[in-house]
Amino acid sequence: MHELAFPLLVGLIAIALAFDFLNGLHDAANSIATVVATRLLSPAKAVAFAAFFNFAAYFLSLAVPELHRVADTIGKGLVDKDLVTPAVVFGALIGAMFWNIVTWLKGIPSSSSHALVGGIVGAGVAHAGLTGIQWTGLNKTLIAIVLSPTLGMMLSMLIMLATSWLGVRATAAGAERTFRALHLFSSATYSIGHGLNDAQKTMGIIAVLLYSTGYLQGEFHVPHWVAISCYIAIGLGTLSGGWRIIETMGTRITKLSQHQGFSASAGGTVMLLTASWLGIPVSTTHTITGCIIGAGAARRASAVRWQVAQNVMTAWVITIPASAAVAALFYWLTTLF
Amino acid sequence: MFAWFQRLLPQRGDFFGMFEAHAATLVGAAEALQQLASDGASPNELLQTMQDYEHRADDIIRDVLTAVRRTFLTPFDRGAITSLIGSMDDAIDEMLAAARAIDLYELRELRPEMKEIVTLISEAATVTVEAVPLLRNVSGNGPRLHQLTGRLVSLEGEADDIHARGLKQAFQTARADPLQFAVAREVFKNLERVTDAFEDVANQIDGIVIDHA
Repeated sequence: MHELAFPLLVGLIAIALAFDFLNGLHDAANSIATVVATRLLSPAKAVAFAAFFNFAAYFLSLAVPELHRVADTIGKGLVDKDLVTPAVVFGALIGAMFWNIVTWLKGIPSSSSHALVGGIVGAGVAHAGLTGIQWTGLNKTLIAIVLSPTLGMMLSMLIMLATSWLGVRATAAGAERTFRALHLFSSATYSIGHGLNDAQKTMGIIAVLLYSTGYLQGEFHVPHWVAISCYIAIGLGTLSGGWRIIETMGTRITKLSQHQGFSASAGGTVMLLTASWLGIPVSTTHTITGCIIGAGAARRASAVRWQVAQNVMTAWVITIPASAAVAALFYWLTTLF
Repeated sequence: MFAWFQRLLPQRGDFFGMFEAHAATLVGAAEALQQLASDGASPNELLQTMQDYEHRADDIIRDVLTAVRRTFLTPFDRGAITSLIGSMDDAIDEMLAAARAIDLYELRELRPEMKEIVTLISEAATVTVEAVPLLRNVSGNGPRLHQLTGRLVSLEGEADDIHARGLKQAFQTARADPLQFAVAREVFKNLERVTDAFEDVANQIDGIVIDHA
């Protein structure tokens, strides 16, 4: 049990929710990419749509509590929860946010999720040494960093293949109509999956903070007010991030058909829900990037923008060590006081 | 890299068959143009033959444009298909326009530079008819297609040079006869446009190769 003045606790929770908000803000462009690229919805509607379904993930988590295991992994699966102190949480959050801002300014593609994982591990190790690391949780998270975009790509290609054969007798107009409807549905489920996986990262952080300071009654769990606050924060983040990027987006994205848009977001949905079910925090941005590449490559090889793929792979390697180092630094800063 | 996967996808609509049929009309029309240019005999029959080929080509392009709108899974992007068949159709239209100009101005004996360009047009049609069936397997035939389109582009360059030389020649020999020069210039322009159209075909094919190989 670690004593923490109540205002400081509130401050840390506010920082965690700010991280969640920024996460939504950063990811907004990617989370509406297929919808905008196919002109399924106007950018403004797409943003509102995505933000709404980010929040709607809350209701899914109430119906299927098993999907809330990501919060457990973040809260107690990476670093032993009994070794976590408010200073560790502070270091992890500030480290992740600092690294996100640096990469954003420098134009290095990064993932908020990876940065948070790096932050927790960095601050945790700085506090308790390597013994505090929960290797099971960390390993599956590390493996998923590479697997989620790769499997997402393959899955979206398979969906392209299966739906192509199912619609083999369809006319162009008929297929367009059908896939339009399906794509609207799959982009809603994708946004649910996005909200579900991303919001839980913050929930896990807040829950372990409450646990370490003795504010959590009983076993380690995510209180409802924490869950709902996190879903609201990410929804608002998507909303504000979306408004800002609408002007710059336009035609930068590869043009996709409704068929491809459906295949990409359906693949992304399956990946994010499965990851949530397995309690694995994944980068939603990297996952949907992999899915879009897969749906694009299924039709034409030039749809693969290798620069983007390369950027994603660079981010795999540098994000966690770098954010861990920054988090450790911020942890040590707190020990000076 | 993903060509193996694209082969697993179902494809409907006989686009390749239609491309090949269209390419055959190009060769037929080019042969008739070559004959028209070489001896000047029976110009009416030859012009009629070319018109028949052009009508056939028009029917094919209509079929392609309908099929591309109806078909859910086309082998290439819709835009790539319509652009390719469109540029092929320009080639035959320009050939017919050149033949009509020759007929209109009652040219019985073409200038040697005109005949040279007509020979290049014939070669361009032959190159196209070889290239089009290779589109059935773009990834496997990428290098060969690249050679063929390169040839089409260089044919256009050669035709440009001959065009310039021929115009100069026509100007010098027909100083006293402005009408004769105007006629020559008109026919040269038409012939040169045919090779331009073939160059456009080459660019469309290159685009497909880049996108799908």
